[in-house]
Amino acid sequence: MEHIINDEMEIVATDEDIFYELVAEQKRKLYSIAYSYLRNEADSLEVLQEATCRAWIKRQSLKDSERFAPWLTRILINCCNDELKRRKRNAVTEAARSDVGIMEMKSDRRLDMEQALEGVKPKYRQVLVLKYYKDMTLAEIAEVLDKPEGTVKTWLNKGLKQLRDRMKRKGDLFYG
Amino acid sequence: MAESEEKLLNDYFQRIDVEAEEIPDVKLDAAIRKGMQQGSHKRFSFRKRYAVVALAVLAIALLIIVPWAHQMANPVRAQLPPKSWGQLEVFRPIVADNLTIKSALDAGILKEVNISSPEMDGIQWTVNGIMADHRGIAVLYTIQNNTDQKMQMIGLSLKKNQKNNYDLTGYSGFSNSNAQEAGSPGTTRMLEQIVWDKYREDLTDELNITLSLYPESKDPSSSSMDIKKLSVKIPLEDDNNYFKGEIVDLKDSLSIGGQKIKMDNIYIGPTGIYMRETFDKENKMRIFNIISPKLVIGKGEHQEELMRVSGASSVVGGLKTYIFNNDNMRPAEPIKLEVEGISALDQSKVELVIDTETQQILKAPDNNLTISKRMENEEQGILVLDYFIPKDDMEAFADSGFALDDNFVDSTGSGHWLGWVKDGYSGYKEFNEDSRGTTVTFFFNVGKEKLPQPLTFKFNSYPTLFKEKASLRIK
Repeated sequence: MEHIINDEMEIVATDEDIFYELVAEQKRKLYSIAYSYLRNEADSLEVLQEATCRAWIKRQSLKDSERFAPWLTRILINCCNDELKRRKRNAVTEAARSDVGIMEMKSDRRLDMEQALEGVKPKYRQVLVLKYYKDMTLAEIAEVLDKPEGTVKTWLNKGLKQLRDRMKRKGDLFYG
Repeated sequence: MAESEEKLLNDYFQRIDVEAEEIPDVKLDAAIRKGMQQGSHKRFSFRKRYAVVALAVLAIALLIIVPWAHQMANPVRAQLPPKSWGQLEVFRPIVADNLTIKSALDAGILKEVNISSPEMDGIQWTVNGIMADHRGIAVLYTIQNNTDQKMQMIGLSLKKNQKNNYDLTGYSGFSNSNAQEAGSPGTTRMLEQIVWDKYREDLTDELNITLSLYPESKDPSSSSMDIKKLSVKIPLEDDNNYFKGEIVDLKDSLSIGGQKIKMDNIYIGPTGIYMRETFDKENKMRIFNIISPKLVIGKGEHQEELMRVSGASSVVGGLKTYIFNNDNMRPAEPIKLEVEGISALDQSKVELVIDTETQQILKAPDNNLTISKRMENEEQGILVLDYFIPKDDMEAFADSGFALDDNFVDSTGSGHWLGWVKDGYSGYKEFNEDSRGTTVTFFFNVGKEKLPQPLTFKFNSYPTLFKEKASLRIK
């Protein structure tokens, strides 16, 4: 009987082990995506934690285990978008944050790009991040976002257009 | 033109990548573990850190005060003269009323080891005492900080050897340590109890424990250069002192309100008593919680309650494992599990169906749940529900709460996540009391997107109580 109980316990443990290993394999990719959105370590770690938590709770809902990586990436991006929404609501507080020192060290060009990206709609922005940061193909992005490839292509073009418009408003800094 | 944006994006992301690469693995691993741990503990959709309400505070205060008061007043323990713990005597204030550790020290199960790490930049740590069994480990240790700089503790990492990447620490671990005090200049003594990642048939001959700290004054985004890792090797004797404990296979089950609850994977060891609750598949109700589960050791007037270890339970595959204190001074005495009831809903009532556009509840477990009038004043996408608790029913609410799953479906069957409300709160509730009782107003964010109605939510808990005492002999 002891053996049977031990087996059950092993199965329980395996579930956690496998999940941990699967997330750990993606940890740098996930963190870097979060960092590209939030641009500070503390918030990016918080979002990685939150995404892991959501995925852990909902892991039974993922029918195809081979789609774990895109599924987890999608959850993480949702968490990033939630965090950005929260920041927007707290815009006044955020402005008073003490990261002025960091801002000063950034170049104008980088600041402009950050601000331009912040103005791009979240659904377009996620495509820009996955394509230009993570070098993913449209098919891979479509899998992550669970959207048809055609939609992703449209979002990519619209995202680039919004980015262009936003940067033009900066006085043609990059084109002059 | 598009090419310019693409190039600028590539350049920009390259710089971002350089910054993101600076993060040390230990922080990423810690975030993943915390996420899993948070997920395991998250029975309600309200994140613990946000659901700060007076009721919760009161409940927590009671949880802390009642066991403390109970153990202080218990005549059985009070009659036992405290035994000398030798050099570990200095840990008595740290161990305080932790029955498991206290009784293990009294019984001589917790071994004195006193193994120190090499000093690194003025900091040294020493493992003073250790106790391990099949499910967990307890460590008494000292941090000697000879600098004037306060350090922040990242945590302990347990590995078979330093080259091995696999961490033996479980996700349902818990700590008695006061992390705030951990790295203060001078001497800090700590106690940490950690659950293994799985049931361990045997232990390795030696265990590598690494304590990670970083200077509090440094920006947390500093590179791994600032993290100080202090390691010690602990030889483990594979004898009875380290590996006591027994597995109990229970044939009987608890029956409450006609619903059967079984306890399996029961392990009684020096580090605690572990058991997993499972619910019979034939049950007609979905059980959310067992009310006030407790273990009682001994007979007659020598009965003593073994409290649940605060915060120590894990949910794996939807099944909850409870961890109770063990009295290592009373290994031969009988133990029984006592519960006071369950919170549960009939399987046909676990869904809440709402047309959020017409603001109508189409299906709910009872009439206590209504759409709040305050929804009219909220922005689009915020669902506001009132739950009324009659005055004499407040206890029911405190016991089981009411929570929705984060995931809901629209009428086409597509799934959606509840978003954040109220400045980042994933869930938010307000209490309004009058002479009839209390109305709790819940806020949920279903999003501004127009969704095919109605929307179906699932309860993760609901305050329908079946109060019925039941007990089960464990040993």
